[in-house]
Amino acid sequence: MANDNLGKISLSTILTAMNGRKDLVEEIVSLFLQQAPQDLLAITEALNKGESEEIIRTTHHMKSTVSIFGASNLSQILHEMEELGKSGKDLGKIKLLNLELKKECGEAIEEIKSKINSNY
Amino acid sequence: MSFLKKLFAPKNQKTGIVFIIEDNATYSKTVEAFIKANFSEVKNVRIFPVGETCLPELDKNPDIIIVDYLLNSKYFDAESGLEIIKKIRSQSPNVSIVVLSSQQEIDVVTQLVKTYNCNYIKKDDQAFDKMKEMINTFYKS
Repeated sequence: MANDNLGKISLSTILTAMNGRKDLVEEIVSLFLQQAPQDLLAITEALNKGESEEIIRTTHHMKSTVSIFGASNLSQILHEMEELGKSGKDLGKIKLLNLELKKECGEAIEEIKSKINSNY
Repeated sequence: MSFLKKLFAPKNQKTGIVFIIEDNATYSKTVEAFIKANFSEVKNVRIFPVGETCLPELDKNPDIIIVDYLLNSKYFDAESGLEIIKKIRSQSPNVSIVVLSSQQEIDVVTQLVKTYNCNYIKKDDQAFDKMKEMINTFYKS
């Protein structure tokens, strides 16, 4: 497989984990493509409510989702949001990070679709 | 398994059952797929999004329980992974427990490993390699 670690998403790690089974990777990608938008919505709703506990939970929840594809930039943004949520302050900063998260996640989704379509 | 079978079963007998306690559906199904793709010894994988629901099932004698440390990030009223681990340990003192988490605090990790005799794996891009090694070691023992 060509080096696919240059973008935001890596499929090589998950492909190795699935013992080379592309069918399983594609099932997982399909789940991710359904879940990631739901996670983003949950985070935005938590921010709109301004409830720290909910912000912490929803960002932590999404960390698991993105960790599957080694999306370290997304993990880092979510980690920052979670830590700021724990401090109970800087809601404005968390909202800015959320904008970055949405942008990065959108790009990651496009990248993953492109890799799947190009038979990674 | 009947009482007599349990009594006379070799101590190292494996059931081929693995439990996954994880409230993130994508992650739990990924772990399930990973196990099925790599371990023919595992005949049955059960997923429990809510930790409490696995406790009545411990009599199935799972070989390994993979559990998320936080666990109540989706179902807010559910017990945390740590509380579930404590309850699992009280009912099944010898089951192998693997805790998965993006938890980074070393104190928490140390507590899990020492106090509850768990294995800990961080949810990062090496998680599946480490899980593979751990599960391989278990089924070769």
